Amino acid sequence: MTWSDASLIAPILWVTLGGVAVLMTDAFWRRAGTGHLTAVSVVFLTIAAIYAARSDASGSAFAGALAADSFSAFFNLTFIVVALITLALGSSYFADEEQPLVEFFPLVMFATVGMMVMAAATDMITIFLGLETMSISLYVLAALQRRSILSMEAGFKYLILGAFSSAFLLYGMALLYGSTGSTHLPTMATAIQGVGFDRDLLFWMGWGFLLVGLGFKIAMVPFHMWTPDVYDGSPAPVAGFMAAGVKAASFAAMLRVVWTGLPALGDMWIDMLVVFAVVTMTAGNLIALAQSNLKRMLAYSAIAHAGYLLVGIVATTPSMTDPAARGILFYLMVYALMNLGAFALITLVSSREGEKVDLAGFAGLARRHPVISACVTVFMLSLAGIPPTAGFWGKVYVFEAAVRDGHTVLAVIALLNSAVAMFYYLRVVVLMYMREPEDEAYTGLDPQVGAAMVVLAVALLWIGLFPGPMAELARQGVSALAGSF
Amino acid sequence: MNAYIPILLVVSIAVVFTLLFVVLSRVLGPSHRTPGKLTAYECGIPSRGTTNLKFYVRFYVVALLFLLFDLETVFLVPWAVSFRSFVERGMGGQMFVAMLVFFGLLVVGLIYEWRKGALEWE
Amino acid sequence: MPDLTTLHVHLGHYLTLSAILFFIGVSGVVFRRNAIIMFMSIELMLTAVNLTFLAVSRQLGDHQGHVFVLFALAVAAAEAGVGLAILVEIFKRRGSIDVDDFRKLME
Repeated sequence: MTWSDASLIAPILWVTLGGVAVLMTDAFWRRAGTGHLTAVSVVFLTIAAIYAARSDASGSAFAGALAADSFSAFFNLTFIVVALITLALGSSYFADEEQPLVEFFPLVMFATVGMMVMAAATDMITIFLGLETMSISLYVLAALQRRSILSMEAGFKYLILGAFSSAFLLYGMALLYGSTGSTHLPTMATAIQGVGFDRDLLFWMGWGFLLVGLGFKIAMVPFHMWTPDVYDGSPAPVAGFMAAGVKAASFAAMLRVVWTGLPALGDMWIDMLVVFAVVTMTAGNLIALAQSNLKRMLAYSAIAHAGYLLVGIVATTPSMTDPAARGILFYLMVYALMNLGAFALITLVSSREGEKVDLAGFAGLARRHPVISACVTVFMLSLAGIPPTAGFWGKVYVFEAAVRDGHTVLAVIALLNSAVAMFYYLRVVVLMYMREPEDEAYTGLDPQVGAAMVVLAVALLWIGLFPGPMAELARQGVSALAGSF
Repeated sequence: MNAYIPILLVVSIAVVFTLLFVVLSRVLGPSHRTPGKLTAYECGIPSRGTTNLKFYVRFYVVALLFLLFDLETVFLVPWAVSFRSFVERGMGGQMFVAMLVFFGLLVVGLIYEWRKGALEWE
Repeated sequence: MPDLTTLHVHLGHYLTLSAILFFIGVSGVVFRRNAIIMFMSIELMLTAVNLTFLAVSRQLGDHQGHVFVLFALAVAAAEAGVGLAILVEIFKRRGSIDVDDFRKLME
């Protein structure tokens, strides 16, 4: 470890340091409440964000294990934003007079570190380490509400399936290592280009297992079964963190593998990905239609969005171009924001005991809380992909790239899916505005969560009206990888 | 390979004789099964309760903490083994600092456990 | 009696063995309903992967595989620690670790 290594990964180090600082604050300052811990976390995340935004240094650190480039900088910023909003949602949600769940803060910080490592990893070892740092923190986060058996079971279910999928991922990595002779992605790419692995069983098994392992994390059908149960049982802020952060981090790792590690693969696996994309978005949307519980509905919507993102990956491999690839990064950032917004709504109306949030429970919200309802409307429109919200541009960039790459049929299927999805997103809006509220509903809502929702809604509208700067940021993000092959 | 044949012989003789004595005593020895003889031997006093004991949950917490810290030493050994070669290449200082960072994080974990009372035995 | 001196163990044998172990683990997770046994099966899967890494590493004369194994070991221990902690908490509440009893989420 040299000084230059450390300075290249400064954002990651600052978040790690923040996690340690929160732990120690909690350990030595007995009267530290959730407010104090939030403050400590926010300070360190802000420093990390400044380092991530200002970093013009690029290069590879730790003998090629991690890369500091515009790609990792983009994702570092995304994860820091996600973590900040999650802290805003969680700090009062977990503040209980008798027993505040202070473990929430360090765990969010360490999970963020894992995500950042995943986005920066250029070696299979670091991908695996980042993934596990993130996942193990999240297993605990999901099971954080020890009073609720639902939360404990969600945590356990997530852990069993997560560990199961990690084993597949690891096996895939082992076989790829065996066939290419390296764990370093660029070295592997060279080996693949040099030899060609058309008939190598070991190689294809490895690649397949790697895809299964990552497919679990991004909730790709048929490896999606855990998603609805885990989102449903987890505390609402944690579910939002999972939906936004885990998906972005897993896609970041997948993009690195696909774009830099294995660019010379033939059409065969692209066809396979097309099938996965179609099945994932269609199954997600159709099942989401039938849900009456908002958390489960959002879980299936998360699956559907994984399908749209897979369309983006199909469109950009193997011939990656900047404008096509930026769509995925743009989409991931926007998806994180709008999903956090939707889960903020659940945070607002659910208690710590983790009761189920029925869709019908939102009837008449607009009468009591017009501002919050307006924000929710923005989130739902954005998830559905209706202008002038940011979600619209995300879909435009990704689907346009698919058409340009010759996958017209795929793009049409994705559009049809978006039309189906509109129905269940807009149902929430209709319920809020068209019904009368029940008498005792929605009193004493948490102002901090409300403020976070307003910020998110404004951001989504702003990006929707002026997509240029964010698209440019995303383009810079992918430009780092475009040059590598 | 031939050097191992005596060892193989010793092992097989040991196995054969052990089995032989067990089988012979089973076949030739008298067998009177009384309840007193069939109970588990606990220093000669009559046994009470079942053997299916519940363990104090503290054991479990200590075992978990031990497991985690125990496995961290996995990283210590390869570092120690290759440290000399790093020193020879002039990277000794860096590697030392790297291990200090790793140890620092472990100590943070230990302090957290201590302050949270996980190490208290009531 | 086969001549022991010519009985070489090749990379293929290791890979086959680890594949068999891996899928014994997979079937354990899929078919058994006891949470502890599911855990043990996952550990078996990870062990199988470690064997693959070590065999390949030896074949290639390369150290990356060894490094990977060390990390995989540590991660598996952390996972087991968290999993057992959650499991104890569930057992205290429910008195059972049969995953078929974990049905609250399925309603």
